[in-house]
Amino acid sequence: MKRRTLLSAVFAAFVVLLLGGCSQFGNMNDNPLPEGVEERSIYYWRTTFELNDNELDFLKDHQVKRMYVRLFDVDVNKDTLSSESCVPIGTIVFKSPIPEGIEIVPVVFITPEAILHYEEFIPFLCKRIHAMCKYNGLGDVREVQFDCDWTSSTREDYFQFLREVKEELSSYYSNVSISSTIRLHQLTQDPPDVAYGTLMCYNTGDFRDFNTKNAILDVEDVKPYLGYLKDYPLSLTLALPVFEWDVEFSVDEDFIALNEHQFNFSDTKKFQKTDRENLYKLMENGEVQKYVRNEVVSAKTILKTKKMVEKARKAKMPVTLYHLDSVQLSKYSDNEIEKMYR
Amino acid sequence: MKLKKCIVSLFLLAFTGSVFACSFGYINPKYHYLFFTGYDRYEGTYSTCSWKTAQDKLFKDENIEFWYNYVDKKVSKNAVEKAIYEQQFYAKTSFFQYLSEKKDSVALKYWGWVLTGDPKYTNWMMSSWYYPEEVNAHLDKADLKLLEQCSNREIQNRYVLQCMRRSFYLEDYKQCADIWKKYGKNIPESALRTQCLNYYGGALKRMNRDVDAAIVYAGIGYFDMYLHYNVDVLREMYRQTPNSKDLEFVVQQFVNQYQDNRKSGQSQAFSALAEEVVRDGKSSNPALWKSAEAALAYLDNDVARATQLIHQGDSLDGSHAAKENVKMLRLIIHAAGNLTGDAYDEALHPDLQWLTESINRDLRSKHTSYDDYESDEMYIYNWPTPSLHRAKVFRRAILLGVVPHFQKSGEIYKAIAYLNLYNETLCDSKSLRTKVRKGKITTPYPNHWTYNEDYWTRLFIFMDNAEIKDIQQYLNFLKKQNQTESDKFLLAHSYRDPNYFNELIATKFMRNEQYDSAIVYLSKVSDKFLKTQNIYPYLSNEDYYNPFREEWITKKELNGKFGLSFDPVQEYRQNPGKLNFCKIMSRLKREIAAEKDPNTRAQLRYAYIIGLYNSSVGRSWALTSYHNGQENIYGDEETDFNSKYYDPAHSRKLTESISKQLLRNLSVAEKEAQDKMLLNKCYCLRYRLVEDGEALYWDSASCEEIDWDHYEQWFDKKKQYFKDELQRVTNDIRKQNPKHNREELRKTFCDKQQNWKRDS
Repeated sequence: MKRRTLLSAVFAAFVVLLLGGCSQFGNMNDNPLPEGVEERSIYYWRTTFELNDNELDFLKDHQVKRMYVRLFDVDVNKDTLSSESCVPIGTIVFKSPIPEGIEIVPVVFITPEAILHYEEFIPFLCKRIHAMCKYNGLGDVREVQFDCDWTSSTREDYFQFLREVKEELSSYYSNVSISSTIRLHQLTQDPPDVAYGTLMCYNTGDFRDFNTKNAILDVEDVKPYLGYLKDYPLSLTLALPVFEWDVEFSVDEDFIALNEHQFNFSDTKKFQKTDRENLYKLMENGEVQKYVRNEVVSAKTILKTKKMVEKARKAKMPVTLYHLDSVQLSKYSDNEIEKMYR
Repeated sequence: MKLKKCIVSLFLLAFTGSVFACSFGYINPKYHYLFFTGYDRYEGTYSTCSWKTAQDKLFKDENIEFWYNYVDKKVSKNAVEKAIYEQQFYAKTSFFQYLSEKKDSVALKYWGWVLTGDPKYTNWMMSSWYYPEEVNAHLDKADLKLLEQCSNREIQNRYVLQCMRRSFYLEDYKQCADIWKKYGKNIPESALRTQCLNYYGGALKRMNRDVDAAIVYAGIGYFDMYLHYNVDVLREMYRQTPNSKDLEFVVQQFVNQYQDNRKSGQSQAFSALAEEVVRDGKSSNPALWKSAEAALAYLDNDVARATQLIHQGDSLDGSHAAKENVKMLRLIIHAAGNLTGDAYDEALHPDLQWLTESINRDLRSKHTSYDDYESDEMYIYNWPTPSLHRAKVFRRAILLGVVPHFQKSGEIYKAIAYLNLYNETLCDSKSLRTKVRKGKITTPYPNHWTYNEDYWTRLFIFMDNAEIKDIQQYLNFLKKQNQTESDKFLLAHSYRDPNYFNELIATKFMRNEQYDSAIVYLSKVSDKFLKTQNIYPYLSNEDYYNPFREEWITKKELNGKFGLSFDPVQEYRQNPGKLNFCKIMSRLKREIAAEKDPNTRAQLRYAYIIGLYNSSVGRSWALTSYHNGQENIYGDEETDFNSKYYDPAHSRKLTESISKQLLRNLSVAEKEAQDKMLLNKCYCLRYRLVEDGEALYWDSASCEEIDWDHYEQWFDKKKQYFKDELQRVTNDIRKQNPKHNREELRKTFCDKQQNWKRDS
């Protein structure tokens, strides 16, 4: 009997634990994550929303339920004829319908220069988000995410912007949540007053610098910020990079351009290896024309980073991959993608 | 409110977003285009930097004019503008009141529709943030009905523009294009029509009908980078309309675009098309195509090929404008060519003569508003005209081709000859300059001061920086026997007054302390000529600018007193000016050489030093410089000149270097002086100069007044301290910043001086 009682107690404790922790994701912050955030998600950052079969398959195969779609950027107005201080640029064009079962979270990127003028554009911004979502049938909007590389000098403006934008958006959507991206360097400061933050574990280095090994993600660049994670007073999700780019430099090692990956480095007539693993010389008539640094992050590095971050946070974090592009995603196996999401 | 007004203004101006580009750069000859594409298109339009702005302004003026006439001029233009561009509809402006009183339902209906008729088209829609909310947003049928039913043709045309604009912004490009085809085609040539076509082109472009859009844009004189800077589109335009004016416009703009934005392969692709066009024989303007090909070769720095092509172009048929431009291009290409000696001049001669005569004809033409092109381009950002294009080509050929060519060959006098032609052709401000040169206007300062342009031109700055032998060679060139046709032409179009050149040569000798040589040249210069110079007021002032005064000595009994057998201050007063100054300096020089007594020699030397000091870095700077400033009115980037020849302050800097010579002389005088007063005066002058590798002068404002009543005690006490301090400060500055900036050095030293004064 005693033994049965003990077993029952152990079982009960297990059930309590199971129910109490029905979310697989721990949370250092008292605020729970808004509904749906724990679903598998991915960013969509291109200027044309057009999904091919591979991309549709990806969403289906990996049970992705949320897509963070960048609608447009906000930048200061370069047109001197106009009196508008800030304008939307790079607006996405929707050519494909939204796949069934996918929730869209509109994302707007705001440049640090533009955020200083937030008071002038908040009503327009919200009206535009609403118009775009309505016009393109993006469904019920439960959340809007903002992305801004704020620093200590622009922090107050950005935080105030987030407060005011939530109020303005409420006139279009009841109970809308606001989330914000969080860059690693922003972990050193107080967090914004939002439902949660998405920690961007990419763009960790300066791509303009010839000596940077990998500007997309270098574990060494993440390490200095791990100490801030444990007590960071905002619920966090984790964004991981699954993209590739080529950075071009002149023979004098000056930055030229950053492009989507386009070169075939296996063409040895055109490209010569250097002593750096991902750096190539682009040759023409036997002369070096420029250097090209190919940057892509291996699944191993991504998983190592994820593990490191979650360990420092002492919790598992919902993952959002950056970003949906079948060509780039094809570099990772299904198994690797699954490990990233788990 | 400001935003609101702007939005409404843009609304009425039918703003088309980022369809247009902006172009700059009328002054710098490097940016002068090789083709003028505005024949019959832009002449007489607005001063502006972009096609778009010009068109908007044209439309605004046309629109105001239309409504002003529409209300029988019963309302002022200003009131019309306020009413329709500043949204004062509700304020019942006189314009709308008039329409109401007249019960003009047609116009009132139109304005009601434009300004208040449909809340859909409010500020929100006109802002950059606008995004349609409805999936099927389109222009209502009711809107088109208003258009169709409008009984006034001209107001109906305005409906067309507004409906096209609305469709465009609603991204219903098909509807926008359909409205044009159905209602717009017959709108007469006007700014309104251009605005409509602009939307039509924009709509076609967005419907991926690139060639059609290219043709429409070209038809309204707009060059679209995406559409027109593309040989495939050009080829298609040629296939469809081989002889259209619009195609010619695009061909020319293509070359101009290549100058700004070279895309690899563009030149070869265009060349292949041009060869094909010339071979086909379908174009009535093959000279244009061939010359465009030559221009691209020139821009690719293949001068040999460019020369060959431009000669071929000359032999082909072409429009008047194209044939004219062949000559202009040939001039630019020859100017950049490798011919040497007389062959170079002879190659330039026919086209240069033709262009010079054309420009002179342009300047005489009643259509030209300015009598010189320099101020035209410096101060008036005029929209290009054919005449301005000719001036620009001329400028480009001389400044970027001919002058650098002769600098390279070392024939500086030839560079001067061509710059003189340039100056006389483009800078001939007839009204004033002729009078100055003929001595009809002089400069009786301070009552009246005439600005003599001859001392502030590219030619003068170039000559002021050239060597004496270069100006002498040019003087010989003016008198050259056996002149070639080119020489004759150059001389016929040059300013040849020997006074001008002799005076400059003399001044250059003065800068070198070669006073006897200066006297030879100054003796040839007339007084009448000297009175036309800008420096005349300084030179003729016998007192304040007297070069033998010691302005830093306030005690009258000591100032300018040298204890000599003659008084240089008084001597100069007798006949102020360069010639007399040179005579005094020459005498001092001779007497120093002949004098046996060291103290007298020191006195003579000191007087010489004062003359040298004042005439170079001191108050009488006008004896060796033509201006006392460093303002640079022409940017270095404007020419390919060696910068040495392009510094308006160069001569001033040269005279500043005399400080070294001054200090050397001062040391000798200090060594030879036995008279205590003279020695102290030497120290006092040294106090004003610092020997520090380069000249350093202090202006009068920073000069300390010396207590001359007790000068001996003052100097005894301070002399050593001053010397030590001077050395210490100089060493400090050198140590801190070996490549010190002169101004910094001066400032630091003045600060130290202040401290020193305070401490003592």
